[in-house]
Amino acid sequence: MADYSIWVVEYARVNEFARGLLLYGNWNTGTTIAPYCYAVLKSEDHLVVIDSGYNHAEFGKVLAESYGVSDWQPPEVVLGRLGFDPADVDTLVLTHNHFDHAGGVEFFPNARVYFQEREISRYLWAVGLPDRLQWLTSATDPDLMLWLVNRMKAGKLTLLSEETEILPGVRCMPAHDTHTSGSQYVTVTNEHDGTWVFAGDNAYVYENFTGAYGDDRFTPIGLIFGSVERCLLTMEEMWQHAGQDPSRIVPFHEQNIWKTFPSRQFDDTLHIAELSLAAGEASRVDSAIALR
Amino acid sequence: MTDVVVDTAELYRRYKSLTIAVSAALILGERLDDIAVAVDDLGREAAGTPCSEPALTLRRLVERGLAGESTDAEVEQVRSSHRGLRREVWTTHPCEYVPCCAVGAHEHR
Repeated sequence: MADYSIWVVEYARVNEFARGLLLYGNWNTGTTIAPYCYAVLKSEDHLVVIDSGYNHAEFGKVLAESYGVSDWQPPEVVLGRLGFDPADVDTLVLTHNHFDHAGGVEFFPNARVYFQEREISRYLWAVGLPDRLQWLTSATDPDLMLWLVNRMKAGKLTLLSEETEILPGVRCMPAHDTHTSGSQYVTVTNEHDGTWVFAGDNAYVYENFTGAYGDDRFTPIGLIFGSVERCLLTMEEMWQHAGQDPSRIVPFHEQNIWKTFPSRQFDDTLHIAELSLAAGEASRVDSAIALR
Repeated sequence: MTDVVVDTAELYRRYKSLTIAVSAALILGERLDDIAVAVDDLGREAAGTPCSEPALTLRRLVERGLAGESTDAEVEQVRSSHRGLRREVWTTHPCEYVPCCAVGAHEHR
């Protein structure tokens, strides 16, 4: 086991995100703010990032504009606020292959990338299907796939197919046939404060766990390429890992994370939150550098 | 929409699928033979269109991949030609990448 300090950094935001996408079945219930975030873990030996954001250029810019994304900042800025350099990140876990989670691989040139093999192999299967079924690959950027080819050739891509402890206390957990074919979520177990769960997009917001009507019945996410049943059962897995405490689950599109943990908002409106501090680690929220 | 525009968009869809397939096969170490045939077909049909050069570049990567000798530079050439083609397609055809939208009625499709 190890001890990680944990931060969630907001790198962009959608100000009018349809609630029906966040919460299955909640169609026509208006919009809400959805931050775009990733997580940063620091131990004595490792600097880890869970999900990479995207590059607001070319494909990323076009997609982001279609979703109404605003206020994007690169890792250089959002990690810089915590005093970190993206080039120092040694481990990058991608929860799934959507642009806002995996489209920023290029910003972490020295990181070993961990990804589910199934997220690749199912695309190879899907592209062989008739054109009328290509919705299955609609969110796949060939450019990212080519990035991964080079990362593989450099010996810096590890494909996973089962529960794997990639670093002491950090486990990649397959969540196949959920939000995407080869999604994964991540658990981080600290000596000093127990287990944290990073949901990827298998939960967008705390309400997925507390219930869209506050009735403590799980409400799945509203965009599922796999099975709703698998999504719900994966939520149950995460719930148990988190000791049935929703604040121990980290959804990357949850705006209330800034109210739940010590946080800071910058002039560009983006936030950082400090979830956990390892022994001897000083708070970086108070000392965070307003680079832009 | 003219036939030329439709054809380019259709060729791009096939090119995109094949690029994903080639990438996935290279990552997974899967056989490229069947994909190579499809890339050849695309190259022939794309002659004289904006998709022609990207298809040939992809074909070169497949050839090198079949020989187990693809280089970073060849992958970069595919990436570059893909980006150029996609930019051209997007000037005349809606983005096909968005499986859903945030506000329910964006103008992307």
